[in-house]
Amino acid sequence: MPDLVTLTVDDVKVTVPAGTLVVDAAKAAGIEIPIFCSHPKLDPLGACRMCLVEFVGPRGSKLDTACTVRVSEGMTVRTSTEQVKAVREANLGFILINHPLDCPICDKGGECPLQDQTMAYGAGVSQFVEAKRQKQKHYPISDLILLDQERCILCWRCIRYLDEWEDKPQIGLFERGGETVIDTFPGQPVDAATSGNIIDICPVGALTNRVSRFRFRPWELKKTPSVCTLCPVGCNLRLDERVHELRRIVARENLAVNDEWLCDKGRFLHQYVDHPERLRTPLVRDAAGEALRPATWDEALHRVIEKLGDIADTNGANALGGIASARVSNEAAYLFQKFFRALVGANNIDFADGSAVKAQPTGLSAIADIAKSDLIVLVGFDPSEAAPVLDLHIKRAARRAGAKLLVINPRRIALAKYPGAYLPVLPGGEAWDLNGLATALQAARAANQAGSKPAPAPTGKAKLETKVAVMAELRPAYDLLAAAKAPLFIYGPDAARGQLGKLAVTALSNLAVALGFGDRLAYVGAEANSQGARDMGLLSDTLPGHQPVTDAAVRERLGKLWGVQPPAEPGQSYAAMAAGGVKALYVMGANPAATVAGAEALHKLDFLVVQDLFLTETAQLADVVLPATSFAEADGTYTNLERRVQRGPQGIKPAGESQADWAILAALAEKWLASQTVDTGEVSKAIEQPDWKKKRRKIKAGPAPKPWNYPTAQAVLDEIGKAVPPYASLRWDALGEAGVQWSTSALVRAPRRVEPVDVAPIAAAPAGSFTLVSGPLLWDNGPLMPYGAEQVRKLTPTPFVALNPADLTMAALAEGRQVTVTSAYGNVTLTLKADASVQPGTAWVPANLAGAPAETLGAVRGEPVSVAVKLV
Amino acid sequence: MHAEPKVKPSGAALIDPAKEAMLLAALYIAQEQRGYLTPEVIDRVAARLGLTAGQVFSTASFYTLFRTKPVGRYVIQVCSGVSCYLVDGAEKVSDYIGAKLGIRPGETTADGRFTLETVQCLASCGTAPALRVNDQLYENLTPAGIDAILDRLLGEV
Ligand code: SF4
Ligand code: SF4
Ligand code: FES
Ligand code: FES
Repeated sequence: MPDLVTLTVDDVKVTVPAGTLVVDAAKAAGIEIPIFCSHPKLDPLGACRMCLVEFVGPRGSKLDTACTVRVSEGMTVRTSTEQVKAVREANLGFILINHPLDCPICDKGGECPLQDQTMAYGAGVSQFVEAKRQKQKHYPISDLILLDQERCILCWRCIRYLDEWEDKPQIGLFERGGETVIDTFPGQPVDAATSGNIIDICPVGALTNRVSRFRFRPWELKKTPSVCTLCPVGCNLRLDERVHELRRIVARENLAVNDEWLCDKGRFLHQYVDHPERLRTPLVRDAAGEALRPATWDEALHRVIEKLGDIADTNGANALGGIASARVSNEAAYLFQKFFRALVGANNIDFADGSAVKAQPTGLSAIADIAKSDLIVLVGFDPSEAAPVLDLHIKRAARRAGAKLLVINPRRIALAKYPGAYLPVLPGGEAWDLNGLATALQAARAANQAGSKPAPAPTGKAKLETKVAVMAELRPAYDLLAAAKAPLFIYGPDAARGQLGKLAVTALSNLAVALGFGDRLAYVGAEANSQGARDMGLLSDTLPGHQPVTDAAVRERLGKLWGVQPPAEPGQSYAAMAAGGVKALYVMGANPAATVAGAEALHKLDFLVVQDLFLTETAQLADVVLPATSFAEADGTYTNLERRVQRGPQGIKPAGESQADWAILAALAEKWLASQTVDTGEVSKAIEQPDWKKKRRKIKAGPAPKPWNYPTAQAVLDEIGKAVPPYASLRWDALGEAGVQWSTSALVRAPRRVEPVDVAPIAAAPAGSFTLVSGPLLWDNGPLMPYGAEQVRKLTPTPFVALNPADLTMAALAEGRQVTVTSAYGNVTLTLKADASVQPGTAWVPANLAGAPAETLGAVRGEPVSVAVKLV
Repeated sequence: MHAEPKVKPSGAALIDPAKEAMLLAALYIAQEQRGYLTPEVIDRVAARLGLTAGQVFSTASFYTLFRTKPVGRYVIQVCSGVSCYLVDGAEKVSDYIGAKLGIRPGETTADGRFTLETVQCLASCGTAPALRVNDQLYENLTPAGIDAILDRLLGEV
């Protein structure tokens, strides 16, 4: 078959790759053929007949569907003959026989392909006088989606999406002829994690968004292209705003990232932006120290710099620390670390899973590489819960491209059902298994190299096996790895925390290096901008650009940019600061007080500043609370899991007086600089000072920090380009609407060497107790979930612990009972569940449930925790 | 369900090794055994063939041969498709039979003898109007013809 085919569409000659569908070839020739059922991301079907065109052949012309016929050499297609026009009119007539035409109350009205095509290609009059069929209207197929069977034109797009992409065929066609309807199977609502995509692709208003229902008319919306900041995939989306409310989120195409898909969290969790409980003014603790009261920005910021300044003067810079979330923009992350490094003079900055995790600096080589891999190794990473659109890509690779999955996880995660192998491990035990595999593969490789010498030598796998002893339980994993030609290794924070996590990552990197794929090893963090936060140096031991704080040359370079150099000693980690290692703490978007122990530690602080959207548990303890904007209300950039730096422009007016995180930090820095006197040896100019600036700080010797001058987020990004070498070319305009991956050539860090790992197996929990396993859940009670729409909030389960059904039976426990789960770090009361994906001997408590049970039990400490489960 | 091999696969679909292709035969056998396709039967067929219950139910609902509810001894399926409609069949036929039996489409007579259904096209458009009683097709219906069919059935019972 030739690679290119030339055909004629309406007298236009067009050359396209062989295998192209006629509908796409016509588009390439600039000719639009109307479609309903055809979709570029779904398999061709030919259900709606809208795309009928004439194919001219030796024996006259015949009609066929342009969406199912593939091009052939010399093909002649006519798309606007009288016959084609007539069948389009007739076809629309048939489609509309039973269509209710309730456009005035239909959310799709105004952006509806059926409306548009009826206008463009319809007859303009109807021949039907009979009564229309009545079917189910506003009929819920899940908490999130409403079905109107009367509006449905039976195009199968929704059915195909759930089958082809989600592998969850949860919608089907029932009955036939005029009675045909789409429906779910009785008692099985649609629960696919990306189900909302069927709303976007439905060509009519048959599937509508329950969260946004009746809250907009499409033509009244102000539409802003942005990105999702709920997980590190960074799906491209559009913010639809009207009268200062975020009415709806829809997907935006970016073929490199999310095709045109969003997960349901990204699509439906947005009402927090307009939530009445949003912080609208700064708050300061009143004179009696009891209640928080509203304050002006000036008063609040003044209070912050005065207290921070006092504590620094008395106790030294190391008494101040900052904890941020990795959800914030690059600009906020950058200025946060700069505030502490350049102004306070301490490296005490970190985020949860920040310095505690040994992350590859470079992220995933590219999301597109998933489809090109023959083996995807997932260590402590559950994409189905943590990054649902990545999960779509991985399922697609497994089902369409024959990729095998090697799942190494304490829990049999959903992806473990695909061909490949599942290797159960205990939390913290990953290093042992990975090291076993790495050692065996290195030995095999060495043997192979020996075998490739000219002398006759053992060849083939059978010979190798005699030389390489592999533990029996590792055999399936070993075989997959040994056979892989294009593997991809992805690990998540759950396998990478703490000392054991560092060993696991080293062993995994050894494994990748042994196979010759050190550059195909990626870390995917939990929060949306984990990659960007690391790039920006929001870490106690790492400077912007992934350089250690001990690197004098980098400190000097930053010193030139900032006026002062960052300190050379690593700062305090998140855990150290949250446990009370500092006297004053600045918290931006994080909530360390979610656990009781965390709150107790914060009580001991002399001063606490919290910058957030809501009055979190941590904010309730604060001395000053600063209201921050959400991603939708301020410009910012975010870096996704494949290092793609993407723009998130402002799409809606900020709530109340809230301000962008970066802008708050810039304002704070300005006040800080004004209150400090630095003896640089020059005579300082006397200028008029407002009262609060008159109190002069202890005079510091040394170079003076340069003034902070950031009129816009773009100005901050410009400076990031100077501080973070791989960002040098990434100006706001250069990023465009699709974002740009930063180049690793400015930072070659792929592991090449095998480092020895000294590791011992992890002991199982003593008899009668269980090893605690935790990890992400899509519908958790994470920071924004409590402020979502009601339909969204109710997807979060009541806090539970799940055991393997066999363990439940053995312990004579029944599902649904209340149990007390106790570890060395605390105890919690949870509802008991049975779950076969939970391995025997382990107890599964997802992260971020209400009341933070997993965190209370010590799940994120990076060490095995054993728990006892007792009936209440 | 261990009955698949009992019927000799006939028709191209059954020769196809894909599991979907066994579905019709499996449903047919299940219905022979149980009278109609209960939700349990559908679950069981789905599990055996590696399909979802929804996919099985969807297929079962497409064919007029399969029933998902208990029915009377005689199931009268009146075609309500376009061709039958155009030649004065469809609603007129089902109304006529309904009046005679005292039931509406979808109902079964109190004595459990007759179930009346309307269906979409019995593939007998050329000889419309058409109806079917259990496995027997009746074409070119007239009021007299319908009376004769009903009289015979009433006599048989
Ligand atoms: S609901 Fe929409 S997408 Fe689904 S079949 Fe009907 S028209 Fe197509
Ligand atoms: S997969 Fe992640 S980035 Fe994409 S929509 Fe969902 S939460 Fe947002
Ligand atoms: S678009 Fe071709 S048949 Fe529907
Ligand atoms: S329409 Fe009645 S048999 Fe086809």
